[in-house]
Amino acid sequence: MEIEVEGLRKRYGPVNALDGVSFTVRAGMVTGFVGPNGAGKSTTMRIVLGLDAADGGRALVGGRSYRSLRDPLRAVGAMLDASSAHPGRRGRDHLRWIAHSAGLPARRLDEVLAIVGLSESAAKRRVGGYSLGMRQRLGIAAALLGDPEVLMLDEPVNGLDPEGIVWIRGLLKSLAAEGRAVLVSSHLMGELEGTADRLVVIGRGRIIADTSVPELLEAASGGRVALRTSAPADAMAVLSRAGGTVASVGADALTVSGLDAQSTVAALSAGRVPFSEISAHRATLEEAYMELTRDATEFHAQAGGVA
Amino acid sequence: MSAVMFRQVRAEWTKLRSVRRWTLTLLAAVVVTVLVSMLGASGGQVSHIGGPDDQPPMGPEGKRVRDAFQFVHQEMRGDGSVTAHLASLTSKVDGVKPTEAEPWAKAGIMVKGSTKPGASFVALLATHGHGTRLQHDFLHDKSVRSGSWLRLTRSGSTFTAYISDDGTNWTKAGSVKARSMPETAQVGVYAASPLHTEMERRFGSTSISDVPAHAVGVFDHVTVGAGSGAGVGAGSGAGVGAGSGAWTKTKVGEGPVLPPGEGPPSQVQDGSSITDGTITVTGSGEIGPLPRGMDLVQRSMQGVLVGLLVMVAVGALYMTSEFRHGLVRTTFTTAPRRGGMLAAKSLVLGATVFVLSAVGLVIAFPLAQSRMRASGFKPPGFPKWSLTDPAVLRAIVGSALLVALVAVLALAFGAIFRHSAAAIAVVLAIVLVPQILASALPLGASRLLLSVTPAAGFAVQQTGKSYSFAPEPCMPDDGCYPLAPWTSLLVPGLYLAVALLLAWWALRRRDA
Repeated sequence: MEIEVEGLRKRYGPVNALDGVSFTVRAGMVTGFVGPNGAGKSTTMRIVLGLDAADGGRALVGGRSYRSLRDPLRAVGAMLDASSAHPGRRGRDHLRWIAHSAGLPARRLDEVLAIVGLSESAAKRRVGGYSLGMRQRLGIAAALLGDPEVLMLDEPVNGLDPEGIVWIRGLLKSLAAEGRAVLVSSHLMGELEGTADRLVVIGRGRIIADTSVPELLEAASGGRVALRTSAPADAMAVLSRAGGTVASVGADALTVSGLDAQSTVAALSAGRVPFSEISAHRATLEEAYMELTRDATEFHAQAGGVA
Repeated sequence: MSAVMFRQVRAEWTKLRSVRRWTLTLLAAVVVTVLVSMLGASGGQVSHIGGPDDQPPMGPEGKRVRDAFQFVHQEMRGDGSVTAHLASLTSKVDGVKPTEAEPWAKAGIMVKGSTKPGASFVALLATHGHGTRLQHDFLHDKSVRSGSWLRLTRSGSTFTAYISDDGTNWTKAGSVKARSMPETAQVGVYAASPLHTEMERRFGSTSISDVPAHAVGVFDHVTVGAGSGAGVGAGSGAGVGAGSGAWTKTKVGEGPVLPPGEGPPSQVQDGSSITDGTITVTGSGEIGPLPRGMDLVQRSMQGVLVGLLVMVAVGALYMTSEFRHGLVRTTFTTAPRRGGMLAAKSLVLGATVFVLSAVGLVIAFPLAQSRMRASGFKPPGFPKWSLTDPAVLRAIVGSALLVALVAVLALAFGAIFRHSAAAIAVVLAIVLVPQILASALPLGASRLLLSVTPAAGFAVQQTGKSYSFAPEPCMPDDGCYPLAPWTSLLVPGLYLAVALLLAWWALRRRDA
């Protein structure tokens, strides 16, 4: 089962929240859905779930609209907002009413509580007393109740402690390995590093990139040179004159674009600027993401990754 | 119920009972209903004077009635008819305002089983302010066309009324069956007038004063004829004294008695005179049902109003918490049919509130009744009510239904406004404010208010039956509501139907 999103449009008054968003979430892999806050991630997810009505385009789950699914919770499990449980209700009761509503057996409660690692005593406490991390686990438990083929989690890493982050990465990977389609959103690319097989990057209501992780890194690194120098000011002046674009990334670290490693060394030597450690730059996901969201349309044309 | 609907009802029931604050509040509503009902019943003190002899007469339908008037009559055996021309009807009201008249001052012709108060009767009469009417057996009244010539014809137990403007051309005005008219009946002319009630209502205070009033009827061409309706007028010739015998003057029953020492004795005296074919009857009194008096059933249920306040809050929160906590997204992803959620919530809340309110009242009613009996509200002066009386059961079931309707109304408004304070405020404005205003506004306005707002539903608590022809002040503060008990629930029901439609539309249309 896949999620197919095609040409989604949504306006909130004067704000164009979604402006023709299209992508596909495939089964058997974790798809990261990244973009700055307000880029349209949550709106897209709400439209997929039939909660918000799109002004244009369509969103299908397994070829059908969510609202026409016969047994929606067995098809799609979603966590939109970790705090969307009544604070006066016990965690277990929160799961219980969902199970009743979806016609799921009571034994699923214990199963999902075990999967997300909420103890029996925690489940008996009222949600109002939960930490953000516990609420995330409860929300994920609710999403897993129906043993769905598609999972959609909005910012699940938010509020988790380091141990929790490791846990959720493992969980997402194992869910995908079982053949499920997993869509995970985040506003921090780094959170998805090493987890997502594929990335859909969204900015200002448009898809900027829809690509695999190595491709994205490749594109983002794009022929830049990293170097260390004890005289960064001199180096910047010399390299600029030679035709490069220089960015400072640390006290004594620079990246240069527009010049290859050889020309950089030549320029620095000619200018008698001391340097050490010169290498071709390897972008991190974080940097790639910064690059994308800084200059969205240009990259869009280069990568040609939009489906 | 479809399987999906059943699941949703079950889920909503789990939601309602799993928030401890709501459970406690719902139970508190029951406790408050009981306590306030008891407190409300504790006020007031009566000491009953007199014994069972003072009981009002028993009517032919087994209900106590009022039966007092001035009667000029003779005997009529079997079928026959009585005819009279009502030359004039005057209402005389004691007191400072000579221009005042009592609209229910009446004079007319009557066939009555005997002169004993409470005996079956049929009368065709003119009133000062309510036209010509055909009445029988105390509880039945019908407005008919007007005319100064009146005729009643008996055939077995069927009585047919005729009206004429000239004594020659008669039109049938209606026919009734008397409940228990003996073969030999008393027929003749009569006059009666209830006490004249002057009521002044200002903001916050009501003053009611009753003054004696009399009706003076002047009749001529009074004839009593034998035979079943045939040849009346030819019957016993013209003039008084015809028919089976001479006229007898009787003052039937006890007229209205004012508390001793209140005002000077009436200037007008009851009586009758017969001169040259003209019969003048001056009478006071009332023929009809007993006044409703204090509604002891309603007074035992004053906690309903306070319980309702609490239930309204729970009803609103039950819906608005969905929006406040983003829960509605989980709800709608679990079951995408939004109307189903509204229906399930309404059903669960309505049923829960109904059961809890009914339980509260079943506990409160006997307690409140025993407190009232301790204060003197007991037989023979006051009826004894128990839970098994149909009227009491109706009041309890109806009240619980009313509270349930209003709680679901709050839920519907919660879905429309998505804001508990707004939902609660609107519901209280249309349910409670009319109740408060009703006791302050002029009578007409307050009756209107209690007919068109959901507050009309409180009429379901009243056990006294209202008769339009029995003049008595019907004030909301005395527990007299304009609408009939069950009918009155239609008003909040209608509000609820509209609110649910709006809520359904809002839920479907808006993004969750």
